[in-house]
Amino acid sequence: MNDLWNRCMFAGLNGTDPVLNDMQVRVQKEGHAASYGGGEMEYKTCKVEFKFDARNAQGMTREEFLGIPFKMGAQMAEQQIRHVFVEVAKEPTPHSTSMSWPTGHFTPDVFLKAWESMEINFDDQGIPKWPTAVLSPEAMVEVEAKMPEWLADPECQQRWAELVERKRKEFHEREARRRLVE
Amino acid sequence: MKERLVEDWLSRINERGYEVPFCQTLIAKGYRVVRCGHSPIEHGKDVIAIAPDGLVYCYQLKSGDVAQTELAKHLPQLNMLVEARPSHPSLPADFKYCPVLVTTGEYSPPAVSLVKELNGSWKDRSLPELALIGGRQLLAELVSLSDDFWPVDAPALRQFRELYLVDGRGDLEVAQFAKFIAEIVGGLSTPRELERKSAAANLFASYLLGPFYEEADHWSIFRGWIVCAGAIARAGAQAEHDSVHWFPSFELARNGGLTALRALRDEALGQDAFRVYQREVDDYTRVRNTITMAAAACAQLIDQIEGADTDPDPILDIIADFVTRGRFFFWGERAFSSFSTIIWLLDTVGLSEQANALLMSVVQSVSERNHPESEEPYDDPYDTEDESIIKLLGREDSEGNRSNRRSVQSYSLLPLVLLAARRNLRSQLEALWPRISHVRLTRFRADAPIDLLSWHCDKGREEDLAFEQPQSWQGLREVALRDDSDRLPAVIRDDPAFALMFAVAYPHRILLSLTKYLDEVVVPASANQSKQ
Repeated sequence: MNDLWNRCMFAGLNGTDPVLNDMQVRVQKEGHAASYGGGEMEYKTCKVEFKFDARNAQGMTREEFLGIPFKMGAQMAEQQIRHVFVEVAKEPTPHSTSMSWPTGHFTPDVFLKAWESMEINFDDQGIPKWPTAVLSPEAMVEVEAKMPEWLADPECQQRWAELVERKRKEFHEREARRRLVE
Repeated sequence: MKERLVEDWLSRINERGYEVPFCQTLIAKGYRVVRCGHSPIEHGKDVIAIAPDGLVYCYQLKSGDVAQTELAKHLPQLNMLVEARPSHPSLPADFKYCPVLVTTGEYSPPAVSLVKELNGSWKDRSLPELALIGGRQLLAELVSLSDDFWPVDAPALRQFRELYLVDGRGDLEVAQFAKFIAEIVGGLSTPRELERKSAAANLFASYLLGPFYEEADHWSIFRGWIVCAGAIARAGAQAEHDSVHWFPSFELARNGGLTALRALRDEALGQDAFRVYQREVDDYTRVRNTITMAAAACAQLIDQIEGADTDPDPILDIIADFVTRGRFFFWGERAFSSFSTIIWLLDTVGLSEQANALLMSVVQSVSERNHPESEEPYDDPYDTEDESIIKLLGREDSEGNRSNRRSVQSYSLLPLVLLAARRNLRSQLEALWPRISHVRLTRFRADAPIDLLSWHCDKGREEDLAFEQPQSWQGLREVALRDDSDRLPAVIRDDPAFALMFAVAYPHRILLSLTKYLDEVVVPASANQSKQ
């Protein structure tokens, strides 16, 4: 029963947040400290609680037994992703950055500025592997509404193409450094 | 209950299975054990020990009840035991010896009577008389030696019961076994307590390995003894008492492992040893082929280190055949220790070309499979062989499992690349470098080197590394040739044979310092050549 309870909780933890689902997880196997990607790993505790009031000759319903741990897992996932956003917003890195703009004034510059500061890789066909952008529902509506206009704008296209070429050059320079030298 | 359990174990164990505990009873009485274990040159003497009064005792170990007919059947061996003077480099120039027949059962009255008659005849010829030790005496000594160390709290009792009640047909649950043994031998100890705890660790290891002795599962026996030896050495180093208080027990466990390793090698060299008789998936067969031949290679390397004149050709023939037919399998990063052991054997016999080809095939494979975006990375070395095979067959229970989201790195690539750098394989590495440089490297460092001997180490750091871009070949060579052996426990540094067995028995413990140390001491020629 404990095993089933835990599995439901992990299903909630691992299957409910789309951003978290896309992120890789580093599992530490031994020791009390770790470094990852050049930084020191700083573990934070996620905590959820469950209280069961004693019932006379009556256990939990199946829905309760399977649903409560799933919900607890989902709450833990929510805590995790909140922490991720706090960390990302602290300092831009080649792999993550935050975007901000006054409400209602989302422009292509916001994207261009963000991508400009990041490391972009390309696949074997030369297609850029863009990072995932996470937007609030309100921002998403705003971006979706403006996207056709940007795509049709020659100046915007030009700037986008220039960014891709700069990133491609940076990528090739990085890849060219992957060699053994004397 | 304790006595019943030891009695039950004693009634089932074969003579090889109680060599270590028997020697432990001798050590407890102040004897110095100079040889323990069957060998072709034993001349009826399984154990040789020097008593505190200087008398040399030679023991032949049997199991079960001994009747007169049984005794008569073993008469040639008994004659050798009594008549052939023991020979061992540790024995003094002049000594008196006493032959003893030991069994786990009882002697029938006619058997005792026959020994009396034989003794009369040996005495007439000025030969020593044969003494007898039976199961009751053994039982009393074993029970008294382990008396204070039986698990008392519920989790430890449950753990002991689970470990003891296996049928020996599956693999030893090494992690659980290691935890149990570490608890017996761990904690603060006076010198006397350390001696008793170390002895108890060996006794309990014997009890728990009993089912595997019954099934002649040499692989499980080997790992059990090496883990036990590691736990004793760690406790000894932590207690900081003179090694005299733990080393004899360590040595018994270490030699118990070596005996099992050699038995596995002998089995591997038998006719049709690798024939598959029952339904099993080929991935499993290839994993077993790889581990068995790594164990055989390890035994051969130890023979070479110890100067034993063992012919490597039968092992090399099988290795060549398995390489040609694709019968080896790098199933996950845990296979690193198997492959490196086989590579070292090829190197020591001058087959460097084959060794290098095998090494570079693994470097290529890991660099292709373990890049950060890989969807099919090799399992890390902490995943057991069974776990990896289940994943390969796509039968992993994936509910709530986010293995698909795990970041990919490699524990084995850095030691593999540095082995190649030690062998001056620059052009081969250059060809693979764009791939290699993409892989994130991981290594584990224990805070205290002695903790590396524990199966699971809580005190240490896992570190992520990456090769430089561009990477200097000279820098790589410098790291590859730098002596890091001070990061290893003394018991590994001082005993290359134990170091080899440790590497094979602890496949999750992929250590750069251990790999370089073994490459230096096992294959000095390659290191010397590469330093030029």
